[in-house]
Amino acid sequence: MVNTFGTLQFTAKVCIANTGIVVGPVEKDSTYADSFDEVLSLETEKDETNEQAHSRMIEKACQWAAKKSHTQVDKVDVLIGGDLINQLSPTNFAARNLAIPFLGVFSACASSMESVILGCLLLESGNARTVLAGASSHHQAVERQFRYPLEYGTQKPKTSQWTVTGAGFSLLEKDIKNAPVVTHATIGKVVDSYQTNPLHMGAAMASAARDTIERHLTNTNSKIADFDVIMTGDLGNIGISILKEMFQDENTGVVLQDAGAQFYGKDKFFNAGGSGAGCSATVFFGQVYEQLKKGFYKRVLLVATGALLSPLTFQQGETIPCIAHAIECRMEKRG
Amino acid sequence: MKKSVIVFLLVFLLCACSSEKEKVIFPADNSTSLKPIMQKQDSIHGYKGVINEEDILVAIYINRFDRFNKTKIEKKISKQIEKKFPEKKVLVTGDQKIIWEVESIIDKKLKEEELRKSIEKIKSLSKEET
Amino acid sequence: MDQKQFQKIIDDKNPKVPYFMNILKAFIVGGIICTIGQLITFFYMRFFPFTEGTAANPTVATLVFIAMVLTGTGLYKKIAQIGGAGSAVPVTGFGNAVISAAIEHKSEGYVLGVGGNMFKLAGSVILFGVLSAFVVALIKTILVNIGVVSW
Repeated sequence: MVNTFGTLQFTAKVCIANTGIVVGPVEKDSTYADSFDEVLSLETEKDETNEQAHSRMIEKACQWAAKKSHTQVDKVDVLIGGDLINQLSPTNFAARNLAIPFLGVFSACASSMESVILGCLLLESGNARTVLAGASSHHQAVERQFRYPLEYGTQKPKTSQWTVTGAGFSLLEKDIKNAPVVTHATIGKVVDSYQTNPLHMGAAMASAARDTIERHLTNTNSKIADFDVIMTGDLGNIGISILKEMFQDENTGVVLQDAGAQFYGKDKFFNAGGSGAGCSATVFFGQVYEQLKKGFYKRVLLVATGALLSPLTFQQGETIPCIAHAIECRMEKRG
Repeated sequence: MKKSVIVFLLVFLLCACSSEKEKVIFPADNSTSLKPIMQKQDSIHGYKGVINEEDILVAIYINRFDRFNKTKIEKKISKQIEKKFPEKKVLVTGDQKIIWEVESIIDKKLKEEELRKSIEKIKSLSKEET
Repeated sequence: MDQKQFQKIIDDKNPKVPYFMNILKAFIVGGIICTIGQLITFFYMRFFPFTEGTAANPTVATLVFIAMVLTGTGLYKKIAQIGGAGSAVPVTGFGNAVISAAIEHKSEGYVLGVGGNMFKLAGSVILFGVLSAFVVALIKTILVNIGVVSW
């Protein structure tokens, strides 16, 4: 492993062996619906709190990832995961039931890639053979913590995003055939672009995404056109157009995509698109992973962006600092 | 769809506030000295009054934009009437409920005893606080 | 790229807020809610011994009840998405704020959850409602005492 200014290079052929994705009922109509392993029929089962539903979803996603690799969850060496809820309680509670060594991580919606980076490091150093890494979010639980009660009537502006109910976990292993390899990762900096509107997080996160992508490109000596797709996590319609504007590269039009902006298709109800840790996790480990496996994509950069705000900080008038973590995946020739 | 909504709203708007209210005092034979007072009020466009030995009850239709001064108008008219009829208890009100009640008294053409009872009822109604 | 350039891009890309349409929608939605309120007032005056003054109380109670049903079935937030301030300003908006918080915090129990959080949103409405009523009454009292206006 070589580290240049925050970009890690993995030499041990760390592969994403399999993934498990569980989403909520609203996500059934998502553009990425084909790549989900399980769609829950209810946001919360009867007599179940939002947080319980959240951790149940995480457990299910982990089990799916293990099951697809024909192994048991308790055979996995380490679980790394994160979510958006206070003190990571849903992931912690899920880890209690899964009963495997657990590392909880938080960088808001960028937790999905942060956990993968940490998982790759564990594998690279030879301290683990299998790692489950991923993140999740639950619409109702997040809405309740960060915004208003669920049924409270407020007019959502066009810039607001809909938190995805979904959990995406990946099983990382070394030397797997026909699986995408994580070759590089760039650890994000906390970037503050002095945005204060919590209902317009795309604008705040765009500069963090730009910083990470730019550093990744310079550190790996590549340009945007070298990638099949550079996918950001949850910038939303407006955030991604801001990001494209910032690069001013003719290739950004096709290569630069956003999971959140495309998540719900063109449905106006969701305004600027999907957001949340579950958004990047489900799309990166779902659609993008499948395309890599099929060989449509050869080289992708997955950038999960996170707005590091809490209800407390924005009410106190603080700006919204943001972070973006990126991993680069490559698919070798099949064989 | 949109057009039909607009048409509906227009019809709705035009239908409102177009009917001229009557000016009635009941029983009519008592009305001679009350009528002139009511006629000269310019902030109302109609009234319905009921008179018996003890009470005078007048329900007034206040003009749309004078409703902001509803209590003032009621007070003013009732003072003028009290001057003319110092021996009677006067109640002047623009309350829709009491207008309806007075209308029903006039429609039914109640006799002495019943009239007294309904006037009492209306007076107690108007005294109720929110 | 410095902060200024970045801010310029954001401002360019920000969608225009359709103020006029929003105001129009708020007017219509708010107007419809108030018309329903007026109809309920007339209903109470027609069929019960309420005057214009006293019919206000049962009307408010009925509207809050309707808001409760709409909130519970998830319809109120759809109305609010269209209506904006038109659905927030009438008493139904207040009812919605109280009831949505109560539903939300039921999972923490009735005393600390529902009881403690019910007025989380509506509490400030009550506080500033009382405060502004006090200030307005104070101003009016002063004006009347000076002799500018009368009660």
